[in-house]
Amino acid sequence: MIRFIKRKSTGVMAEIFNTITPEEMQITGNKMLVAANIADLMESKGWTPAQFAEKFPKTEDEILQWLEGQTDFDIDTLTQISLVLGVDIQRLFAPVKDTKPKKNKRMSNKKLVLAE
Amino acid sequence: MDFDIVEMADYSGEKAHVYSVVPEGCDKTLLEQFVEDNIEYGSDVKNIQKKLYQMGHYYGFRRYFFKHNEGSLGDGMAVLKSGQLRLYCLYFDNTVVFFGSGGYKPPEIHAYQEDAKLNAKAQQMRQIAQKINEAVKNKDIVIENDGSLTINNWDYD
Repeated sequence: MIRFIKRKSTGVMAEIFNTITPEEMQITGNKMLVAANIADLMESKGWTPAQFAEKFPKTEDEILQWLEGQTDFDIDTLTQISLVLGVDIQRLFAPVKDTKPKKNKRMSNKKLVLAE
Repeated sequence: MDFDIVEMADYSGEKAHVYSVVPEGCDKTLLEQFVEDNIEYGSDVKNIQKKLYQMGHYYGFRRYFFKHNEGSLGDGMAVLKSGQLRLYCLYFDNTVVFFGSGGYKPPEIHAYQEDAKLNAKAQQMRQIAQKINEAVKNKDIVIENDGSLTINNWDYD
């Protein structure tokens, strides 16, 4: 029988995690925030990454890289993106809306095997 | 390959559940092994950990944060990238991802199949993905709306 365990990370993974500063975490968070906003705005226009890429022009791979959330955007690029999307630049930093998870029907009430 | 499922409590949050697996006979998850095996790519390893935390707590597993279609069509295999580092996973939706292992993708190759080490990690994740997909299909694992799991009696084949 499979076991399900919920626990914190251990070993090197935990050690590295503990070295992450609040500033480093915030920088990553902000990059992901901008990427999530760009993706949401792109989708709200009904554009695929390939169609969005044509507006600049960029390649689809370049757009997908932006949307992965690790690009260090400069002001020139953010301005260009906001113009293509038809929004003010600050809209790219707005809090993101929740995305909806898919619906799964609960099929059973059998007990979870939990090990700590 | 038999395994248990582990939820990484320090990465899971309000928005998403970060899962990995512990192969039978091991005490570390594949995600923990991935970090240890790739410690030489320190900044990328750290970046992936930061991304996992941010997704778990603030953004969920938005589809575009991942590169998809890394395995067979429709099997849900995806990859989380930082630089040349690749972390293979089984993507279900914005609340549930099972993370396996991965490694460094040399810039001169196009597909992971061209690198023996990376290919082995991807194939390992494919095997795990296949078992988890089957278990979900058979309702042995039920993914709830909030991304939590209910695991019923699941005997390995």
